[in-house]
Amino acid sequence: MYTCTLNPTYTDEEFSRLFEDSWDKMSEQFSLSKTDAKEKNQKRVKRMDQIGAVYKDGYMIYLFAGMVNNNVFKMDFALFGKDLSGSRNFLHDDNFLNAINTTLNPVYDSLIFNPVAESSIDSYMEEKKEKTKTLIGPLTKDEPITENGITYNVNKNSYE
Amino acid sequence: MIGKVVTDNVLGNGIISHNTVGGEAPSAEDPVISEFTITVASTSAGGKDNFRGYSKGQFVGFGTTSTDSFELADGTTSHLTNTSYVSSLGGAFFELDSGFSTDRIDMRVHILGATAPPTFNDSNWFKSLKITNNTDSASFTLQRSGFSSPSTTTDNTNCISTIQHSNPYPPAWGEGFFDTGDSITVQLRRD
Repeated sequence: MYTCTLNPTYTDEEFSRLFEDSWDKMSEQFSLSKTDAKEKNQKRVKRMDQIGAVYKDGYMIYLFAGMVNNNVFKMDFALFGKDLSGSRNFLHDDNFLNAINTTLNPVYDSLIFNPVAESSIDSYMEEKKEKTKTLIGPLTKDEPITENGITYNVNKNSYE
Repeated sequence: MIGKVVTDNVLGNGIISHNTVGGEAPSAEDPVISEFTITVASTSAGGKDNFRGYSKGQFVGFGTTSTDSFELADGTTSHLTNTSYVSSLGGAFFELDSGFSTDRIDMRVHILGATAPPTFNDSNWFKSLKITNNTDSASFTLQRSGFSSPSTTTDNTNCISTIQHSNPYPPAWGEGFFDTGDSITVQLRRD
């Protein structure tokens, strides 16, 4: 049973757990040490316009945050944790994506995913591209941009 | 502060003549060179970096300011609202909330009629910047010496010069200083 909550109350321990679970995949993107990256993002997330979390059977497995402009939500940060069994197989469960979209759909007109090119999350989003067209809506933007020397693959899906 | 010496001459029937007889009254130099106030907005180019503050741009701008211009210590005027863009950019003051690197504060000086800014030192620019969040009633100060040397672009008539300060926030402001809607006053100071 997956539930997605906007503006969740979460503890530092929950953030730390998800960060630890995610670091092996995220580390190559940061020019900061693990400690600095964690501290920076723990504070950074709290300043984002929108924070959300997905729980599997009441256990936080995904924390996301981003900025909102003109009712478009741009997902700038995400931590993919492991479930109680230590697995990330939920990433391939449609119910996981459904929970997110069911929650975001009534609130926003569009969603922007902007993974770092060639990162693990970029591969995941590429794999799920067809799925998001169904779950969210048409892909209205699909282009790479380079910012501060980092290339992002920017995908924008619009809710119909 | 420059003062003038004034004498009052009673001419009769209650008429008083104020005569400026010249000279300057001695006074301590005002530590404030100039100041400007912005209202914070946020934007992003599409990646993970988020910008909060004020930026004048031909195509992409954000935030507002109640101040058209401010002075550097040598008297150079920096324009905040002028639309004589250089490389589509005008004046700016904002924080970069970086996705993967260090945060910083950028100040973009927009000078008309000059292809380069004055030499970057305390005498010509400022010694410190006092940044006050009027909304949160809080302030902190950055030394000019902590900023990078100006990066300047010119259209052969005007110029913009950007200076940057990495990791600008003291620990107490580790969660950032600029939030959307905040009123921020920036004072250029001699002290």
